Amino acid sequence: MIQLAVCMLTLVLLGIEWGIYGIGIQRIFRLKMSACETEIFGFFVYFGLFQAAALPLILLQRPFHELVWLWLAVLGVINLFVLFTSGKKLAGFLRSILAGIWRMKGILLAAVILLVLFVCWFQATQQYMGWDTTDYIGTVNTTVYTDTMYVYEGNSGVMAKVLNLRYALSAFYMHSAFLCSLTSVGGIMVQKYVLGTVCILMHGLILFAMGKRLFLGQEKKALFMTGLVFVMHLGFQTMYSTSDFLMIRAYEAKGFCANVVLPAMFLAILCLWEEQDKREHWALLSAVSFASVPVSMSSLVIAPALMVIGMLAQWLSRRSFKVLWRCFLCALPNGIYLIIYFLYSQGFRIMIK
Amino acid sequence: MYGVENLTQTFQTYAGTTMFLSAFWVCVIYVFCYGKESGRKRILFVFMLSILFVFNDLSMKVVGKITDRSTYYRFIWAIPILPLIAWTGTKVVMEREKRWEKAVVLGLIFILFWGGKSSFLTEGSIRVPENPYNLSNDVIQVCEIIEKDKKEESPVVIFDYECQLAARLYDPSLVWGISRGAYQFHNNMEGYENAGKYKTEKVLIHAVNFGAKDEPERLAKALKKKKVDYIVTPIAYEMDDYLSQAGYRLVERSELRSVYVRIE
Repeated sequence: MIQLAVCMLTLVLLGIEWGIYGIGIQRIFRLKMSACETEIFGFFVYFGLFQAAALPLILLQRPFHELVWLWLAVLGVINLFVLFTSGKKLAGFLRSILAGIWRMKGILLAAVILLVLFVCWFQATQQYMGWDTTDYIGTVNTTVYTDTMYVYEGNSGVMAKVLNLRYALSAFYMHSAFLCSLTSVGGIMVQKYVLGTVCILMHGLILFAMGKRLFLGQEKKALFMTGLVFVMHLGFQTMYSTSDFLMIRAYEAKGFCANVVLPAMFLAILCLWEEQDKREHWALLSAVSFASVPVSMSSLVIAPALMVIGMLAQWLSRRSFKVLWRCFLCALPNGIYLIIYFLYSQGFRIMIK
Repeated sequence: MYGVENLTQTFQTYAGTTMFLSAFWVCVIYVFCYGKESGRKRILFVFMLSILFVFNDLSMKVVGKITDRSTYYRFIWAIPILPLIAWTGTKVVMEREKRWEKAVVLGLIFILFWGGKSSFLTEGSIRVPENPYNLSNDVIQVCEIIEKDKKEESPVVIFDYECQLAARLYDPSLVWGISRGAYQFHNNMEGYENAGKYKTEKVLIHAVNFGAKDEPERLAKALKKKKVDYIVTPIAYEMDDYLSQAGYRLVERSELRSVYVRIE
């Protein structure tokens, strides 16, 4: 039970952390976003920066504890920076969340919250067990146990011959391992209870932000739309649907790709369709794009494809070359990952030392 | 998604028996008819570009060569199917003035999209886990038996299929003696003969997962080759005598499984 309580506490702290990251980057680049968008933005900035810290260490096959210390240092610096420079903004951020909840109070809000919480509970209690489960949660456990990153095969515990870039290019599971080593909770609990819940809550938040954008700020309609999507998720059980990756496999990186990365990218595109020159929307699009592979390798081609199609449609309707140039810059990180992955698929190998 | 040849099959398999894709198309038409002029234009461009770049059989072949054709269905994730249906649903419901009208429309939406044919909410799906790890108690028992008995830090263990999937989620110090690939090839006693790559593991799977007792010498050889420290197999197979011939003795039984250790 103590471990469950630690998982819940971790969940809350991560939520706060993403708010802090969102505010910090807004401060640096002088951006102004709503509380909802700040949280989403912070989530992607956080994972993007985590990847920047983790990837060199993974490729150099450094011990895992070095990443833990490095990331703790980065967390410390960013938290202190935000507390000292944007303390008031942080308080305002928390106030605006509470004010928003108060504004929407009523049966609809209660029903949607209960529905989302039910989905969280449902996901956490499912005992789906496949080879992918052993791969992913096994990777988290093996990382903590061996103090190495991708040196041992996650599923079997056997030492690998080469660095498997199919997984090692994304540090998502290393972040889970970071949480495990910090909280001393096992990989299965961190993945199922913390990350699984994160996926569902972020999905809900993105839908709500999307609803607000589509209904021109009418929060009740946005809330209703969010609730409706969750009701439909309950009834869309095929092995491949986004709903399956939300209800059963939300803790997997693939679940995040289907339910967080791609909807967030769609949200950013939607914003840009309305106001194509607003810096905040470009910042959101670049953060989502930058963090799409760090969150899930499945985003490698899908996320840039969605972005390019969305932006090409914008260019065709507005004929602004600025859009294409910025879109190219946003797609650049995925392009680099794609080249590395292509080389790997053609025989390029990094041998385990 | 295995066994799909083209995009049509991919979409059909993705949607299964549900009506969500059909509903999505209805909503696209709704947006096209009642949306803003700029929105209509963009939807048309997005539709054409999607078909040109992604949703055609040639792209499926090309991208499938780099990544994997069986994962091409993930491009469908980029289509906001449920948000668009929900947006249209919200508009339709919220635009009704009387409460009873809203209730009727909402009811219709629920019936239409959630008829229960492919619902997650089935009899077995609402459950309370046996323990906070959400793993079977028996697997945890097996891991603890090995933990108490082990002399090496990371013993090599061969398990029956279900136990193998869950064991390392509880105890990462255990090392699999049978690979994922071997188990995936070996779904039944017969379907294995062509997988020459996993010849050694085949005999191990025959013993621990199917309870076969007809190859004692090959089993002993395979166990030696794989340096197996522990064997975990269902109690029902009654393998005590057979495995003692191969040099293994019973350590303890969990509720469902027997754990054997190599005799030094």
